[in-house]
Amino acid sequence: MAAPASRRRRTPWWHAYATALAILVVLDLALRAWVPHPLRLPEQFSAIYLERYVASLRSVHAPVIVMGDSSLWGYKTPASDSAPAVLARLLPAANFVNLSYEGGSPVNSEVLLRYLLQAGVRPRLVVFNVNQKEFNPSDSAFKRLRPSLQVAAEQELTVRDRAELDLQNRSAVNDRLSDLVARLWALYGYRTDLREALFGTDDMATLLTHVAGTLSGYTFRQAQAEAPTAERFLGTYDLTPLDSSNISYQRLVALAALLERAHVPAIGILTPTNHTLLHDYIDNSVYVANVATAARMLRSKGVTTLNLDAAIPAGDFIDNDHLTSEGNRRFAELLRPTIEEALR
Amino acid sequence: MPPSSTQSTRDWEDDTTRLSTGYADAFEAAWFLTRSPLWRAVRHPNWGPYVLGIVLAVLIVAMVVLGASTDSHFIYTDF
Repeated sequence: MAAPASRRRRTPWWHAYATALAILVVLDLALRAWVPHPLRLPEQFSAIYLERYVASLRSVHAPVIVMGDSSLWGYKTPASDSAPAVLARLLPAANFVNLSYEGGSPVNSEVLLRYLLQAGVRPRLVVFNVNQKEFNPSDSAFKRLRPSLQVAAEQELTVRDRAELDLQNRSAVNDRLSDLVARLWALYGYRTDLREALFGTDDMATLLTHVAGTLSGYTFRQAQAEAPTAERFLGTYDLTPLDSSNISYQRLVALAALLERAHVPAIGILTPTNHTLLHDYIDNSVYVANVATAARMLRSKGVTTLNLDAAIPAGDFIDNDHLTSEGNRRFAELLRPTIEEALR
Repeated sequence: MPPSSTQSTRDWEDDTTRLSTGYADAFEAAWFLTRSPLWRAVRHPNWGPYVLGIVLAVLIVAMVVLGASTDSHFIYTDF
């Protein structure tokens, strides 16, 4: 007996899977074709994002690479107000690339520079900051790499790095599997960046928590409770005299030595610090000596060193070392002549 | 009529804290889906499988994008 006409026309069931696969493949190809060109790195970024961005810098002519921590990144200010973005507007002929990020430190800058040079990026100038708080062993970035940098720069990590640094253990089967899937499937590899772009934070759950906190007044009360009083920074700065036993300082020396070996001109900035707020903790001879030690070492390696430690008034700070938009503009103005001189 | 909602008392619940799961459990959600316009579209003899394929792709993308972030987050203990 012949089948009804409607049965004969029925589309085979496996077309559903083929359709889903085709959509995912097209989405994957689109994501792979996308190259990030951010004003600064996002708050959260994946290893794949960093790799793609760094790879794209090979074609940037004579980039001025900015590396460092949240002070240079522009913590709590819009990306366009951060000091490197202001500098890019002041010096449009220079190709500024802001690779600083929250949680940066000398350890992170040194590994990042190694990674950049190995990836074939040839900076015309490197601008980096040196923040005294990051020489404190209790600082979260003292000897810890940002996880995305650790994954991206895994091939560049030496035996010494693995012995000295607090690296994320990624040897478990699920970590290896996750890294492998991230390499094969761009949507999964870029998941952190997609969530950051869509929700402006780590993930949707965090966004909903923020919204609930704002609506309930919790966020406001928390901000009031955490107003930057001096006591909050008790212990942020280690007043042990700096020497080669300090791993973070060792990495600053290594960074300067690498710049010297690679013949890359560099400007080291001793980070503007809020001396009015931190008077009781840092206005003393050991702190001054530690700043001088770092400056002396950098100059001995041929790094142009700008001591801006006490150059910005307290009113331009959000807290101990993060600047307001006006503070970032002032910071950029202070950097401008030295950068112009270096680019001549 | 949907099947009756299953309400159970869990070990952390008592008379005052007991929560109704309503119709949010997967089984009942699936039952409702079979009554939705989407189900009729998926059952269509010609383009039903294509609709199902789109739904599958959207679900996979949503699972990845809407999932909780547990990786690549630096621990900012001193900010």
